[in-house]
Amino acid sequence: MMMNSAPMDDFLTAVTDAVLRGERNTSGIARRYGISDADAERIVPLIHGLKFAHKSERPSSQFRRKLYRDLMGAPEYTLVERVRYLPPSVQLAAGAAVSITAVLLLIGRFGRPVFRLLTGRAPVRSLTPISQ
Amino acid sequence: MMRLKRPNSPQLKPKALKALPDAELVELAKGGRREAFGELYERYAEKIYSYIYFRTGNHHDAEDLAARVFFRAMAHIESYTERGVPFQAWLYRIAHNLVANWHRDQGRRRIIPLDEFIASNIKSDLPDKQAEESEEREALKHAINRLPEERRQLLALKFVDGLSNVEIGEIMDRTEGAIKSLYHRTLIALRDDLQGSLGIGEASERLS
Repeated sequence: MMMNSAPMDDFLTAVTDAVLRGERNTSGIARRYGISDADAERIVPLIHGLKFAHKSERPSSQFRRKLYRDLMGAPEYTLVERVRYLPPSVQLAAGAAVSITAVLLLIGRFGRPVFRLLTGRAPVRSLTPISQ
Repeated sequence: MMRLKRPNSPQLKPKALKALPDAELVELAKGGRREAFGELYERYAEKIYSYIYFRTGNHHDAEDLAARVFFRAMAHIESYTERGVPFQAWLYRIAHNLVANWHRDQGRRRIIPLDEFIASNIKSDLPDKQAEESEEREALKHAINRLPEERRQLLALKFVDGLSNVEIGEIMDRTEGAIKSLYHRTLIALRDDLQGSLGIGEASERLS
């Protein structure tokens, strides 16, 4: 092109950065790199043209959201994590339900000793109908 | 139905994730933290999409390839080690390879959607001027299309994604100086090509 390439390489990088930032007047940059106005004018308009030709294209927000969801997938939680992040009232209710179920299961399994252990009283025997 | 909150593990709140550099997010993602990869996705989705769109010329293929880039990155993130190639460069290399495969599979040359986005930006009421502008756009489009693959890639990375020479060098596996020099040669080639069909100074002034 015009002169030895190192200053021109640096000038082209600097002027392209300026054009991409939206600066229109780049003559100061040419002087800083020792490039003549004539040399700059041969190439700077092309850089403006390239900026114009390479306008960025954004993905739709719908596509972005969908891909994000697809990438993240369904969250994988253990049972403990599931309970841990439930609201406190639900945690309390779940805890009570689990405790009552456990007691009933124990009574059903081991009968009177467990009832006596829990209540301190003997269970009432079931009444059998007297046959006449 | 009740919604479950995500685990409140340390350092994984969205605000905290946003503050982390790529390298730390990559380490978290390697440890199975999907949220960390989600943050990396948020950072690069737009850039990668833009790059692919410019290289393919249509939204449908750009969406398909962009999705494949991120799924591939997520699947292989455990094997990624930085070693001078930042995550961004690694992602662009995946995109570049997929686009190259796409061109090979399609058996067609890249279509640059210049008509689409230049037409929406040039406003002129004069039919004669429109005709001149159209001629200039076509000339520029064809000149870019005639460039070798690596030069088109360089222009896309620089003008579409606004990357620095250092970042482009990381993607293309070249030094910053080599990228500067390649860019210089690319501009000369374009200018010489356009001079055959247009008065480039005049033409580019109008395009800009």
